Amino acid sequence: MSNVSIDLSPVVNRLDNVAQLAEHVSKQVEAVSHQHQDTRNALERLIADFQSFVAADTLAKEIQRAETRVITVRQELDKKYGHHDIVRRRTTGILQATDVALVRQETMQVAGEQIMLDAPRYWLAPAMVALTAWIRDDAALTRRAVTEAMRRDDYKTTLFMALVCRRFGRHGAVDQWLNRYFQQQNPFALDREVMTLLDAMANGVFGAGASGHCASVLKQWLAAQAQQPVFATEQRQRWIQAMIALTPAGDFTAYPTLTRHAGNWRALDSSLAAARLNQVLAQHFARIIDQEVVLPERLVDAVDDILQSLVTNFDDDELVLRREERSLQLVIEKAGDVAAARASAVNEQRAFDEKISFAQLLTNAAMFPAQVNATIATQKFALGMSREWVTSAYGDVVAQTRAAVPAGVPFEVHNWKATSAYGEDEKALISAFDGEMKKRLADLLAVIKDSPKALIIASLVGAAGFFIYKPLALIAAVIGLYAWWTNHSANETRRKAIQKQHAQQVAEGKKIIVALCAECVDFKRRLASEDAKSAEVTAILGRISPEAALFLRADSGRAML
Amino acid sequence: MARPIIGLTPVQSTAHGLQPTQRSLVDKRRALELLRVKRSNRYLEAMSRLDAGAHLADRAGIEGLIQVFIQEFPELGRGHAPLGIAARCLLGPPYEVHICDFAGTILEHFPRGRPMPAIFERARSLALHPGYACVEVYSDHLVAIGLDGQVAIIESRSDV
Repeated sequence: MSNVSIDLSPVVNRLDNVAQLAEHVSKQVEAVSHQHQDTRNALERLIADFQSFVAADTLAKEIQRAETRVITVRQELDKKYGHHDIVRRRTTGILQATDVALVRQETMQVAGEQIMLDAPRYWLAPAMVALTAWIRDDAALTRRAVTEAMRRDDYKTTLFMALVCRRFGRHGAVDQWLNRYFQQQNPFALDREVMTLLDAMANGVFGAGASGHCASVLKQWLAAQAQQPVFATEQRQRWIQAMIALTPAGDFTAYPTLTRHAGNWRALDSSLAAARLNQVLAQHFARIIDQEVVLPERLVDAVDDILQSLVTNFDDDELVLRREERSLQLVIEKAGDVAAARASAVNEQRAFDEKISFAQLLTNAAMFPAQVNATIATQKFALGMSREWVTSAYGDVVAQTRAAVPAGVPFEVHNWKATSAYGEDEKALISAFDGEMKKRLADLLAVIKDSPKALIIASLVGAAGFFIYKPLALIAAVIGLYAWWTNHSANETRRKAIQKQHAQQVAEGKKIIVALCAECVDFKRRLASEDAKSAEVTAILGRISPEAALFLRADSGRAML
Repeated sequence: MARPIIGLTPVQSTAHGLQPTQRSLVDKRRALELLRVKRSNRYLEAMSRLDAGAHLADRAGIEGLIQVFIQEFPELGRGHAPLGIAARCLLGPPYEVHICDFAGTILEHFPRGRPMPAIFERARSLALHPGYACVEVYSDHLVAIGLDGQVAIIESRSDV
């Protein structure tokens, strides 16, 4: 057979070339892919830039539109209500002038009368005439001017006169005006400034007489609210919710075994936290009742701020245009973001329109004083007015807490379930656990039996061998005995292992039960101790006195503006 | 095992007449407000005699207890009477709480660990608390009566 050799090197070389070519193409494809990605990124940047530009342009246009529109609105305001601004400025000026006694009464009279001519429908104009007439003891003109102001806006005039009289220390007049003001309020929907006025009244800013008289009006409010069939229930519920809101956070770190093994540790934790509320409430109410009343300077300022805003704020007629002006202003402030501006406007309006019932106001003042800026005197007053509901609501809170205490502590150790009567049954539990574990051990050991198979087979072989070949019987017996011994030894080893593991489980389980019972006892003791503090709260609530709530004190006025 | 005191077989009929048609015209809210009134000494004494069982030896005994409630709340009448009373048991271990089921006209003592009927079980913790003389059990609320007759109300969730 001749040797035939085929030279494959050209093919190999070509293949190498193809491979190189493929690699080259692959690199080119990769380069194109990179270029494509770069192009895409650039395009995305361009789109993003374009979108940013469009957004910025929209915002800029909104700002521009708002700026143009706000000018129009202001012009309209100025045209329609410009004279109101003059009245407001002059009123502020007259109040300032009165504070420092730098302007002659005649000048003030002329200014007042001029205001009256300038603002034909505005309540503040006759109120100003009344003020200037009152300053120079012109009783007849004062009466006529006040009547006119009240005809134009009874509510604002009443509040204005009450606040002006307070500034000038005319406590007798304050008493009547304030009384009238509170009587005009709807106890189910109080205005925002009532909280400030109530605070001032409780602190005696308006004088003793005003505080006493107004307290009786406030009692009438409550009486009016109490006429509603659901009022008592709602009011109690309000207090219950307010008290529960002060519940401290659960802290179960002292009970690691309960946390790990008790099936209801969350309920236990909640129960303890609810019981700890007693201490919180004891401190809260004791602070209100025992703390000395000091008139905060900010309160006098706050009362004067109400006068200032009455004098400087817009009248109802102007509201539509003023609101539009404010909305446009917000668009400018929010850099053209119309949605954000609208949200702010809604929030502002809601805060402005917010009205609460007197009963809610009392609860807020006593329970969340920081949130509503209630002074200690108002907190005392609120508690005094609500004593009946507070006491009743607290009784319900305590009963709720006690009713929610779990009857026992269910737990599981090594798949054995039981419920502890808060650790008092430790011995019984350990004994029951022991019994269960002994039963389990017996069951486990029962299934391990020495197999007689080897002995039986050896006996049969030995018996057969005895007749055929005697030494075979001996060999069979030895083998059979060896097999049996091996099986027996293995079983013994298993039994010992099971017993050892069981002993460990029993010891560990007992340790857990003992620890759990100890923590249960400790928990129950702590719960009882916290629960017992409810008596302290009840005693503190018993010390609430509505009469002591009104701390009376006069003060001097603050300079206007 | 509960220890029956009266030995009466619980009857299915509502012995104190709690049929809806016989309920008084007082609405639920108003009834709850009325139930807040401090209980009289007479009422507290009647409830405290539950353990003795002497006056409850027959159905008439429990009817007498219902009458005490009606006299305490004439405006409410028997239509608003509680389903029963749960209170701390003074018989000693193993008994810890007893219930007087007005509908079943039965007084039953329960040892620790043995649950009471569900409608009464939710009152167990309160009944065991030394601060309360007894607990009036209603279908949707509990009224805990303090040792001095003061009242606290726990409105239950509707899942009971």
